Amino acid sequence: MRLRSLRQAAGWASLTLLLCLSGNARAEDVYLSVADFMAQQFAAVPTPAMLWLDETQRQQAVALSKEDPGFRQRYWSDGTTSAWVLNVIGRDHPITLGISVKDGRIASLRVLIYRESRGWEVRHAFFTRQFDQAQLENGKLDRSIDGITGATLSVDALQRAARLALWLDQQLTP
Amino acid sequence: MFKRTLMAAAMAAVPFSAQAAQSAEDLQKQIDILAQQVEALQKEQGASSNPFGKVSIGGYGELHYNHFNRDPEFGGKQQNDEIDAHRFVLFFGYDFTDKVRFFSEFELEHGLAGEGKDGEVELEQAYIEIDTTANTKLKLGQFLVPVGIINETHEPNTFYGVERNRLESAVIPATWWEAGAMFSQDLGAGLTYDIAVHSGLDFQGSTTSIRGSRQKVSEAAANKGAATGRLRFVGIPGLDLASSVQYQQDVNQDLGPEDVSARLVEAHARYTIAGITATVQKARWDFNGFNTDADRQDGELYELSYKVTEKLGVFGRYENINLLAEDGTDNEASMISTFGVNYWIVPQVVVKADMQNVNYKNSTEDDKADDSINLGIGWSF
Repeated sequence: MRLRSLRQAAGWASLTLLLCLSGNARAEDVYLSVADFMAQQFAAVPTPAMLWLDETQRQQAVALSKEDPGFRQRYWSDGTTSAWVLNVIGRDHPITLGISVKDGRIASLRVLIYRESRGWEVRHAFFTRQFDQAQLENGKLDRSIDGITGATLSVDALQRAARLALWLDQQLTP
Repeated sequence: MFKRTLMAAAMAAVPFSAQAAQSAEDLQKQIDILAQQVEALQKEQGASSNPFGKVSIGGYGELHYNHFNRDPEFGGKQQNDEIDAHRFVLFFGYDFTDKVRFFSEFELEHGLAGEGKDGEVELEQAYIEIDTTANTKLKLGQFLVPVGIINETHEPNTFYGVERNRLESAVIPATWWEAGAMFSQDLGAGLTYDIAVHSGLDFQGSTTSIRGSRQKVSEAAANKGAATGRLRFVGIPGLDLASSVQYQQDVNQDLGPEDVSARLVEAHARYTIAGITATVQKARWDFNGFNTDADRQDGELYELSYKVTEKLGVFGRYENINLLAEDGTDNEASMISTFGVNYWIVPQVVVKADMQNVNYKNSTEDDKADDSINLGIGWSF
């Protein structure tokens, strides 16, 4: 009886070790690089530029998106589409997002790096495609985003980032 | 001398506006370079010399008021009304690297702990998490068992009802943590699985209370262990489908009058559309080896909620719970109906109110003893 229990424990331990080792063989946690995201958004990736924001603009951004964009934001633009790389906190770690905006609507929202312990499902296309063509309407997204159980804070973070990207794009218009 | 004079004349000939434009452009470049250097420096300092940059702190808490009904037939009030700092929890985390991190959850229950006091100080989670690949994780240490909805996501602003539902407190004894190893993989398209080997329950040969048999990894008997597996699908926005199966080698930890193995099967489906959320959840324990009839405990839950506005939600819930005593009687079998409202002041702060009606299947029980009106406030950050 005891021998059988020992064998069972050894079996579980071996399985766990095997899974760990197989995992380490291809360790990587960046789902999409900035360069690859930009290449998906533009036929010819433009040189990044810098958008400078004064205190009043930053306050406007916080009021609308609950995110502080800082005093400057790097962006890529070919004149019709702008693209942004934003970091937003889900629960306690930053989620890095690539967001492109065309004609005041989100053309693409992708999770580039996800660092939270829970909610990693938000990085998949089945979730992020809900943001396609979303625009600002009275300071809010013009649609409701269906959440994922257990990923509430990550879902909220992506919505804040979407609002911020749309607002930043508006600042490029003279 | 002639060259210098020529240079001065040439410089004077350049229009002033062009010089100014050139200077502004240079100035912009210098600012950009300086800003990049400051950011790089901040990042470098954050990574090397500032350990607090790797620390994360969070928490949640909830305060409850319970008002119980009077029942003249059974001699008046059976329970005192109660106000309780039910949970005060702090999270501490530390990132060793981008792929290896520590997470912990430290809790004070019922406001006051110590000998003869109502509350407890508990270490609910303390584990190392390793991102083994972009799609796989390994947890080593003390973690929440991957079963049910509330057990892993129990911040008060994430669920309806002042008190947690009975199914996920008595049948699934949330908050339920064990020590061991858990491997998780994201298979893509919203499909994930978890496999865990961990410490087990201990009935100590006498109780049949699943909740009471949690050892909480406190000098826990580890003669026998347990394993849990979960498959989950969230590939359609708003949908959550999951099922967990757990096997316990011996819930008496080899120390009881008999060896009793146990199997838990849990399944739930939740779907949200247009602000309406419907939840169905079932859980069932089967025990093999009891010399009595206490071989099964189970429960089911049906909940419907509606987000009237972004801040206001209403819900109704029905639960059917069967908890068998050691001798196999069902004097704790109950049907519970709860109706209430959540108001989110901000998304992470919620005020709750509900009415709960508990009906016991055994007519000798006081049907009104546990009927209550409950108020609560909860937060997480």
